[in-house]
Amino acid sequence: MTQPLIEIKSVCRNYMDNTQKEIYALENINLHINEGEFMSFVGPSGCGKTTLLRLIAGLDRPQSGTISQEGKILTDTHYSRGYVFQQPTLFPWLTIEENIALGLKARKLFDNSKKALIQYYIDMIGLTKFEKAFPHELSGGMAQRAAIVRALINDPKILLLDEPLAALDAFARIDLQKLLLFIWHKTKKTMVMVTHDIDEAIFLSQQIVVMSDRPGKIIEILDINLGKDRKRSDHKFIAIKDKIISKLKLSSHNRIEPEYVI
Amino acid sequence: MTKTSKTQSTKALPQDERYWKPKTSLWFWATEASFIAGVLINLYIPDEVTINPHSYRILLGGAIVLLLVFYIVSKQNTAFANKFYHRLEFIFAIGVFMAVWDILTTKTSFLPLPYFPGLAQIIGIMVEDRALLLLSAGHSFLLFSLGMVLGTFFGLLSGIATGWSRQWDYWLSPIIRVSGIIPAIVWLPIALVLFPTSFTAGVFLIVIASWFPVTSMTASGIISTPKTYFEIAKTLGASKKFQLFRIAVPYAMPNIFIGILTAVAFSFVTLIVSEMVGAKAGLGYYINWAKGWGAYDKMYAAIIIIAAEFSLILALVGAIRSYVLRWQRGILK
Repeated sequence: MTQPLIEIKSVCRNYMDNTQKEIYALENINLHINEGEFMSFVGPSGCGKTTLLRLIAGLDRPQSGTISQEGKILTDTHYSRGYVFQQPTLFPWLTIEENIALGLKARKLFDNSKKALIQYYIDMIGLTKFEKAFPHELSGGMAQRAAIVRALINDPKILLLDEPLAALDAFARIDLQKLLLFIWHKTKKTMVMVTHDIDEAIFLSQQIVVMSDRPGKIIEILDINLGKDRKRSDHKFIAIKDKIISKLKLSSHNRIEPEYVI
Repeated sequence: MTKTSKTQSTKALPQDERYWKPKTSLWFWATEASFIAGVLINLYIPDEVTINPHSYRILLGGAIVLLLVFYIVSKQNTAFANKFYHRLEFIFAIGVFMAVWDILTTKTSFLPLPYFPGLAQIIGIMVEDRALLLLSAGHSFLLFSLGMVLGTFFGLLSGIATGWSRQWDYWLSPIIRVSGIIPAIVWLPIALVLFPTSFTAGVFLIVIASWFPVTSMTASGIISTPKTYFEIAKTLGASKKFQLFRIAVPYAMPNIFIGILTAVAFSFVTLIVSEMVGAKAGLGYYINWAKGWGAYDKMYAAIIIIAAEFSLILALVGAIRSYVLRWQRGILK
């Protein structure tokens, strides 16, 4: 058996809220992420899926349990784990090419020979001629594309995506889903994405981790065997969607319906 | 045909919002008339006060010629014409004001002398005393820039330290808070004792005056850097040093410039007061010296020089600011 890229062992994470009450964000999470996999975390808001992603990135520490990368326990962030936020958060004082080159500059690896690589990424995401533009001159979709390749510039082993498409309009979202798939097929990088959007998760992932809220637990890990070209209207696609919805107890008979009165 | 006219009209719109005054030649001719009237008044109404009106007449003549040149240029250059026509009403008012001032002072002595000399007298004295005035302006500039550069440098150091490190914040913040509210000029008596020359004492006071606003604005800028910026930098492999100098400091830059501009304003006051009280050179000293002789015309001359010099300094700082913050163009108005 090959070693998983990321191994999460009985991880718990609690928070104190404003009233000093303890909130159980994650409880006893066990998960393997294999190299080259595209995995999504879906679940209701507040189920701790972003917390889990931040733990993998090293932006946060678990109270108990361990997270290891290729057998080594994680203690901090590392450039081998790239992270993309919901907002592009490009640095407004840097041009697009400077933003993309930042990872190399941070690691003191930037020189003139890297310019071609940066240009390659800029061309790949269709931002040719925007190299010298500042972030505020870009649309939300363009900025998020730049943020994704900024995370790729260090050639990370794993790309962690925290609802990267949630803030975008429908057109930009479809566009970026295609970009993520393109990058995944081309680079064979491991990708882990947090999303609210069940369709998006099925469209992109090989594995979907379905989570419940308060405390965040893994309900089920689903393998998605839909091949490379996926259609949202495909009956298999819809069957998986129904399954996830029922797992999340979103179907009406499992839920106390609020009364809507007009 | 229609297409070009459309693009022209959309281009013209923001300009019209900015330069909204009517663009007629009428105001140009009125302005020229007001300056020519100023010359005629000066030439043909006899003086009540004995002065040398030569420089004043050259000034008026120069204004008339310059306006004509601008008028000719505005016929060729639309962008320039927009600005020029927009300002003409104000320039007209200046022409009228100068003529009226001339009548009230030099021509009739309506306003009491020596407190309210005529413009002709002030311009005359300015030309006559130009060597000393230039020397004083140079001295003031040297004092100011030395103090500002050192003060900004120390301000950046202490601001970055307090904004970045809890330890530095713990020890420095109370000192900054207490010493910052004391106007720098109160240290003048001690500075004159501590420092060998009045010049170094002046530099010291300006350093104190400029240090405080730069420190506090730098620190607050660095503290307010969004956490996600650091998180992104960390996941990209950035060291602490990189996070400070390549993320926090650039983020704080707009704040730092607010601090610097405040420091400039504080330093102007400190500069003039310290020169008036302690120094033997500079524009502040010149004013005080002129006052001692009752030479109010010289005092006004020095005030005009101060206005010009400080505007130049502000323009210089503004130019540096808009270069450093060029990424803000389009975000802010």
